[in-house]
Amino acid sequence: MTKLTRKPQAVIGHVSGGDPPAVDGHGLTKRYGSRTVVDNLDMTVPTGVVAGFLGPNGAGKTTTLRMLLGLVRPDAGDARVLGVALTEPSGYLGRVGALIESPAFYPGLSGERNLAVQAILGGLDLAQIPAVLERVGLEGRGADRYKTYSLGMKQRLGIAAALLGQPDLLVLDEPTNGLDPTGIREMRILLGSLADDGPTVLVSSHLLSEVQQMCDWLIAIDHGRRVFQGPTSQLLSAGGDELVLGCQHLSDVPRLVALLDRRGLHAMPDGDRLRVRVSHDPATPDEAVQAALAEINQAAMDEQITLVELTVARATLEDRYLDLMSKSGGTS
Amino acid sequence: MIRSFRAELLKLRRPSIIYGGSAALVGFTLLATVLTITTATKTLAPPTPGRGQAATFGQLAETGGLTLGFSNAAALIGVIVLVLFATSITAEYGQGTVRTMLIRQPGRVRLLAGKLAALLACVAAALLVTEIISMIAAVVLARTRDIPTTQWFTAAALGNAAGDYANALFAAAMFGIFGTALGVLLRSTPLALSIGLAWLLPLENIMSNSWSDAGRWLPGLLSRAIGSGDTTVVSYERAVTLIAIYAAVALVVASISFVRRDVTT
Repeated sequence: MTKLTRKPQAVIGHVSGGDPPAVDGHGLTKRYGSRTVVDNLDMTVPTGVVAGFLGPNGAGKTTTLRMLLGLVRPDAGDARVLGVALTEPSGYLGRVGALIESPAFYPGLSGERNLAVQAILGGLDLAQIPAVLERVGLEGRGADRYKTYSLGMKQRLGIAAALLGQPDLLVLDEPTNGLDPTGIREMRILLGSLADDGPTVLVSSHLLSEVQQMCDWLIAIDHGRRVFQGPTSQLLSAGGDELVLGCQHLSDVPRLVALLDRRGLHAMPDGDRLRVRVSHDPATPDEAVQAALAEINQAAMDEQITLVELTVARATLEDRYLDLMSKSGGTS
Repeated sequence: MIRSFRAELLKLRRPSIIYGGSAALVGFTLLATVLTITTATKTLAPPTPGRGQAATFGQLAETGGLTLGFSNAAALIGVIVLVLFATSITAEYGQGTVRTMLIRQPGRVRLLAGKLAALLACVAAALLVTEIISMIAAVVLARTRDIPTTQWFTAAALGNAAGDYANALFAAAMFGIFGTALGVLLRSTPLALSIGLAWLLPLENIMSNSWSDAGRWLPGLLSRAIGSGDTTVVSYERAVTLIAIYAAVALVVASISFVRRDVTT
């Protein structure tokens, strides 16, 4: 699995008080009538990360993004985007590229002309349009009318529009919505390429496997409230990892169980395998697991137990996300 | 505002809008011109129920005769302009493009002002072309009916044509502002058009039948009076002043709504 992140130091930098965050919101609240859609939400997106914004349908993700983009006025709370207060959107929106919900363009205009409309509105250089079209793989189709585009091409044009002006912050709301598996893969590769040398990215998505591959920072909300915020690795390693062990001879299994027990590890049988949960420091999950693997392997060898399997069954983001949502009472 | 104006002009440079809008304006104006000249009578005839008073050869032969057809089309032109402006706004909400516009140009008043200015510039150009076509058609039709046209080729006739153009443009601008306000407030094409057209066409006419002063107060009738130059019911000055006040109120209400309301489409 290739992780498409680029600046893990940015996460560390933020945690240790380095760069100011790209997005820093406090107590953001939005109500529609008696319904509270976003409820006292605190959120931080460190500069330079690819941040995933997770939550079930109706959790308040899109409303939050709309607030950050000046489309919706919060009823309470405040935020700074790229260091500028939310109440002054003209101070930061020139450095923000966004794709909110579905791409929105003029069907009768070509892709190029649609981008030109946005570039003119934003006071941007029209000469960059061919480059952004090429970046999203739409070179040669820019002169075609938008209404002739496939769904995947429309999404890519939406990304191209967001890239106009080389923004410092990209806000993408469900960029893979409605795409087939091939389109999703293409979009993941595209977003990954943006992450390599591009801006801070805040992307909301339901495709957790994609988010796990792309994002090094996560914010999860449910019922408008934050349920997690931090590095992806922290969420993935929350509660530790599970090791899977298999002996060459089944008769060695009781001795292996005893061995693990002496080290304070409780083994659970799983067919002819054993499963062991290893708790560790969330800040250094990989090092902790590697150390546990080495220690168990060495101890088994010392006791003349031959292991045919010694692997890490690391929880997926989906597992952790569902844990989070079940604790908060949400559904996905 | 300049950026918004230029972006809107780029959007308007679509064959469907240019040809569709121009065809509607030219078509209605030509129809009015043809009817004005072909139904003209040599002497003043009594008004025909449902069709109004036909022009006389004498009226047509005057300096204002050249653009009488164009002036008669002003009411219909106003309705077309209202539809164009209202749908131009509601389509932004329907397509979701209002989101991208506001992210690129967060100054909402500037965005709205630029859009309105671009639409008005297009209407101004289209009206000029329409008036010229109407004048050419009038000259051709006048010859087929032996209507004297010597007064049409004078400086006074040109001044009349310029005045008629200014009146038609002013009336169209007022209809456009009302259309914009409806679009911004209602955000829905069917709602904006049904309310706008119902008010301008049947409702105001019904009210004018039962209320003798309707022509002195109702915005559609005032705009039509200015566009057609018909000042029998209301003076030109009163019509211009009152309609300008109505339009200013509509603009302020639309601007406040556009600035303050959330964009959730």
